[in-house]
Amino acid sequence: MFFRLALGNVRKSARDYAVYFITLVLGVAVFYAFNTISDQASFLSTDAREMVQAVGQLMLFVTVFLAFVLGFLMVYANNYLVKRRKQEFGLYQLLGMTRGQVSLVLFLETALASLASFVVGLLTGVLLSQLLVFVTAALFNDRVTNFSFHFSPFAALFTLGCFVLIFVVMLAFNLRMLRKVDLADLMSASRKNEQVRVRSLPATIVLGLVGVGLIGWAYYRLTRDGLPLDGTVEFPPFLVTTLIVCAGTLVFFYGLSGLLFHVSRAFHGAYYRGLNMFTVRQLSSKVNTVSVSMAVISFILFLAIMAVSGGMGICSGLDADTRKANPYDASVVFIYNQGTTIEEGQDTPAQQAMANAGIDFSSFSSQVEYLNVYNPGQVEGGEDLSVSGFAKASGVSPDIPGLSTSTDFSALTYYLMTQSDYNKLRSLNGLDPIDLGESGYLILSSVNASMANFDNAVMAAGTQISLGGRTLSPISSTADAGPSATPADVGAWFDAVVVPDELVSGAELANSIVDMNYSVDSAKGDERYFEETAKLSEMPNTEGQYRFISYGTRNDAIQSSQKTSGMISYLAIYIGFVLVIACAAILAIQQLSSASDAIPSYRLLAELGCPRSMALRSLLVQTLAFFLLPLIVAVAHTVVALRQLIRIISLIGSISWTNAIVTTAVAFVAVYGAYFAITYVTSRGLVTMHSSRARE
Amino acid sequence: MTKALQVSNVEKVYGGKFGSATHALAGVSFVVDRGEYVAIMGPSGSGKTTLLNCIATIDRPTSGSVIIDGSDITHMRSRQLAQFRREQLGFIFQDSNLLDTLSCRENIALPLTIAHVRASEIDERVVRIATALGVNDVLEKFPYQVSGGQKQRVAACRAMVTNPTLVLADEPTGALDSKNSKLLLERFDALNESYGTTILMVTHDSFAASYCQRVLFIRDGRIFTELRRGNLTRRVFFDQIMGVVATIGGGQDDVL
Repeated sequence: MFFRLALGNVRKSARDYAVYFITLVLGVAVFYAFNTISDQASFLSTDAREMVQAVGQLMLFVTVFLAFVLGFLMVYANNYLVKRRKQEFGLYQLLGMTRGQVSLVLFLETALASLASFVVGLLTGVLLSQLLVFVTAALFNDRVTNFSFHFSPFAALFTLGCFVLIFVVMLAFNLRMLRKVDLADLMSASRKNEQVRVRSLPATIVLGLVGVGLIGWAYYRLTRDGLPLDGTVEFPPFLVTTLIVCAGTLVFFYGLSGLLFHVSRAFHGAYYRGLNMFTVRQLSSKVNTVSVSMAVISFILFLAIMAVSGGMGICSGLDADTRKANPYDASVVFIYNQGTTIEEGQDTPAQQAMANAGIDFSSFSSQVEYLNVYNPGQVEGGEDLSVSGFAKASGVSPDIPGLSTSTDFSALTYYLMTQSDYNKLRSLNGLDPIDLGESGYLILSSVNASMANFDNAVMAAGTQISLGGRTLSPISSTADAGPSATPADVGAWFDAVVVPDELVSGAELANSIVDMNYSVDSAKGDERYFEETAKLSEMPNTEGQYRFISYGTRNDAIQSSQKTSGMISYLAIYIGFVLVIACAAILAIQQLSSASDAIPSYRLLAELGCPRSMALRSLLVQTLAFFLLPLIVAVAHTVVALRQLIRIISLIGSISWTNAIVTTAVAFVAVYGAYFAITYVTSRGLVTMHSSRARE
Repeated sequence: MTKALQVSNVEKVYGGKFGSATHALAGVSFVVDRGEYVAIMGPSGSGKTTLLNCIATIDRPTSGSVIIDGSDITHMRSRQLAQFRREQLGFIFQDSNLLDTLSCRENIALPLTIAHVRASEIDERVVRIATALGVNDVLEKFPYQVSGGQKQRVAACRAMVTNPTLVLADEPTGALDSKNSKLLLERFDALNESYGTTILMVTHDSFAASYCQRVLFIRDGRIFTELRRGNLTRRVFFDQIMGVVATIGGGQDDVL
């Protein structure tokens, strides 16, 4: 009997449950699909498999977190449903049902709707996960091998677990609400005593302006201070900025309702035209009742947009950066102990070691080059070739943002490189050799963009250095910041100064480097490279002249960066998607329930002779504004925050943000727009169906 | 000059075709002249609300015709109907049916804005009708801030601000106490006298009906009889109405 009542109720309020249903379906589908990632690994090549499985672990934690977020949002949505049906629940009690029995009906209803959405969601998720394999493969730059239909019992169980979590949280809140209220309250719940308070003109204008002011102040602070990501910005001021923008958003939405009304009424003629007056009043009353949740929604939207676009931007940056930092197919770098020097014409310890090991790179390479990098400290009569030294000599400010403050970077010294070794790097990169002449020098800038700015300024200032009793002048007004500025694939390089060959004789060796470009394809080349270098690592370092050797190929570097970037984009998309769904669902539920509350108003409009098209236009504007208001605020926040993020990240590397932003925008508009469309169509149906008591 | 309203032989049948049908209206005919103030009375279930709905273009009669200001509304299409309601009809409901989110001024202005009347003219017309109905001082308030009687008079303002050919009132005093009922009816009377507004009111309150110039009684879907006030005092007219109500019965029963 209770079951039949519950079933009937779900059917009757199918419309109310629709958004709830759709949201749970999408939630379950996304939870399932993304958590099959560990299983998707079996369709990928072995290299990608390992990374994908690592992401899978992280995914589980994130999912539990998102389940909580979704759970609370659903609590809110369900609250709304129950509130709207208070009178019905009161009637049950009036007819002699106990509270326990009413709770049972509510429990059965929620369970029925949830179970149905879980089943549909899981089916959708299974389909979605088939597609997701290809997305995963693309994110990890891999190809799908041996694809077949797959189902992951683990992911299904895990999703069920999260789902039960959501359900239990929701149920607990609902039952508590039902238990707390009196019968009299339940019965009179539908009577509209919700007062439309339009706050006085000065109050709303002050509130609105304070809100805008606080937001503006937070924007200013953020633009001035930057994001606390790279250690140069302190965290507490950022926290204050965050609090200011939160408070500002809240106050703004609090004052928005009145502001909206007073501003539109200022346009007297337009206000009294058609249904404009009605539209503004309805909207302002709605914004008034849900101002807090609107502020929260706009904030969650902001987080979602930031997560997706920021994540994707960082990834594309990482990829581009890795390629730039690895200009050669493979490198070997010998790192020497302090005080290693060689006589003129003598082989370096590296060359000796490689000769002893019988290494031959040339058999699979089109070009192999041997070169050295020197420490400037021991050069006879050498200037202090450090950041502070250059700063002092040139008058350029040594304040270089983006460099870690943990080390005293101004004491960092530039390496020295001979002109002939530099020309080898140029030739590897397909560039023409240069000639420094008797007294020229060139800075190689490979650290980051802000360091390159410093180097360029030093060269442009015509800063002279003296080395080996000779005074050197820059040969151009810009440093080399291209691929030929990077000595080898391996290691973090500090910048170097290229000087005429004879000036470094007898200098302390920092590194010896072998760079090569393969003549065979990169997979084959890597294989041969590791065969050859294995010989070297088997050789004992008898002389003890070098500290260690590092090996690296471009493929290695790219793969490890793809692992990171794949992981970031995967999480970013996942988190962003769930948050957007949750926000859109809340907006949809609020808008639908207010549309159904407004049915009598639309009926009256029809009776007053308002054409249907005019009434529907008003409904469209209301729905659109309701969806756009939090979005506009969120986008404004995003633009400011993202600019800071771009500024910081572009110091580390060059990034194409267009792709990330366009992708995010498209996906976002699709999901958000779909919810908007469903909401509008449903509420239009609601209004048309019920307002047609008046003959058409 | 055309009549404000001509109802000829209107029938309304509800339900199935096989005997279970209910004849809510079984051939009603009457005419309302311009500037007339007419009440329709009848016991519950007599068909008076159905009749009003057919006239108000809310319901469509099964047969017969309803002609308002020379146009037959029984065969109008949706778009025409909207325009017709906007221009020719004014409605007053039992529960004043004001929009909660709009102030009283805006509620009254609503039919004018829908008809795209100029904003400057709207203000003037709203104030004029509000003064006539004595709600000038509550214009800036919201419906929940004013009394039931004031609400009903605001609703009356909304119905009359467009100068419609015919004002239809469905139990306008139904939810009011006697003092507010009297106030509203006196204003109607005054408006009818000074502006010549045509008012058709459905009521089962004999007191309300006694303010009219003519009372139509219907029973079982037919016109039972009609009373004209002529030069009688309201008191005498009221007694006559009470007499007919006693004859057709039910008139007082369904008050409770």
